[in-house]
Amino acid sequence: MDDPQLAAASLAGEARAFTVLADRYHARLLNFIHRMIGDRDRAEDLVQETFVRVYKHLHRYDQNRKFSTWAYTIAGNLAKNELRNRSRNPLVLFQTIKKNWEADHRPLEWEDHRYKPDDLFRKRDLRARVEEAVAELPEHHRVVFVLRELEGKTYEEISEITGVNLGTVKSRLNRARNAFAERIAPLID
Amino acid sequence: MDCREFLGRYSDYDDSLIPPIEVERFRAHMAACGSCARYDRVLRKGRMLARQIPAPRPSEDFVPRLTRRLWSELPRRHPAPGTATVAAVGATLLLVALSSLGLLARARTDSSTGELMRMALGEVVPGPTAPAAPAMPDRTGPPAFPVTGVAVPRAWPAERVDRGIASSYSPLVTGPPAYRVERERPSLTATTSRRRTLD
Repeated sequence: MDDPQLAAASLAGEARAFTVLADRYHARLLNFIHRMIGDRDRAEDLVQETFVRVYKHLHRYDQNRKFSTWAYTIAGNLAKNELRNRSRNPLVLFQTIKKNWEADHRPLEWEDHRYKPDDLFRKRDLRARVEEAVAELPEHHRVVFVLRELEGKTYEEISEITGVNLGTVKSRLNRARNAFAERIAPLID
Repeated sequence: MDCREFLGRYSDYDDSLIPPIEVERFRAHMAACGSCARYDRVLRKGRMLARQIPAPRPSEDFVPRLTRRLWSELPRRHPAPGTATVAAVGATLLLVALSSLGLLARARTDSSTGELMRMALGEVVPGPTAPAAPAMPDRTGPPAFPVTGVAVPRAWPAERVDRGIASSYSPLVTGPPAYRVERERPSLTATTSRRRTLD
């Protein structure tokens, strides 16, 4: 059964149908939220919360839309709220705002002088460094980068999940890629 | 094409959002600019590495925990509005029918029409919650249990029944009410006066 059929079956009272839906998406949603907030255990709590909300509001699901897009939207909002709650410290909030502003307004640049052939030791933990480079992206760049590069979502799906228009999605993705390339270039090339 | 345009529109090229003639412009620039060519190389390799980062594995009990939480925290799924209305009407009709049967059953054993009127007028209100029991006078016959499908033997000989439970006459009671039965002790005075009359 496809996702809309499972949703309809769950609404009709078939309990197992929702379990199949949860089984289908819980790993992907966990990866997405984990990349957003960096805390695996908390990410799993938020995925549980995502499915509870999906279950409660399943009667509102528009079967003409992709179920995954709807689920990712709920998960993305929960991750965003989690990050917002963490930054309630005024100093942390100011630093986050400053970082986000610079990320959006700094000119795109790419120069070759960063190449350091002596940094071979960094390649030992290359995977960890790449993961770190993703985690260090500003939140609004990180979400589009993760959705596009790691989850394979289309621009339209990203626009729907994040609630921003297509032009903004493209702009943020371009900046995210630029920042990511700057961080990892010394490690891999 | 200069490096600024290349960096500014790189995502359009990377995601194949431009026509072939524009793709050629990007390729021509990369052939001429080592720095931008490196940018393209770094990004492709970095993306490949990022996709190889192992995804966190969900706990083994994730789905069972979720299922338990859904069943314990959330009410049963509400039926569609139309279905709920039909169900509510049906339930009301059933309750009215049961109440009527209860009244009829009481009428067979109770000749007090006043009592019946009180019940019919709503002293015992059918509904999902147990109503307060009306104040019932002493009776000389066995109580009329509500029709619940549970066979309740008649009490014999006649006994005075002390009704202590508020829900005694609720039509939704599924078993015999918890009555405290007291045998009526014959009055010595009454017996003596009857004997004197017969004499």
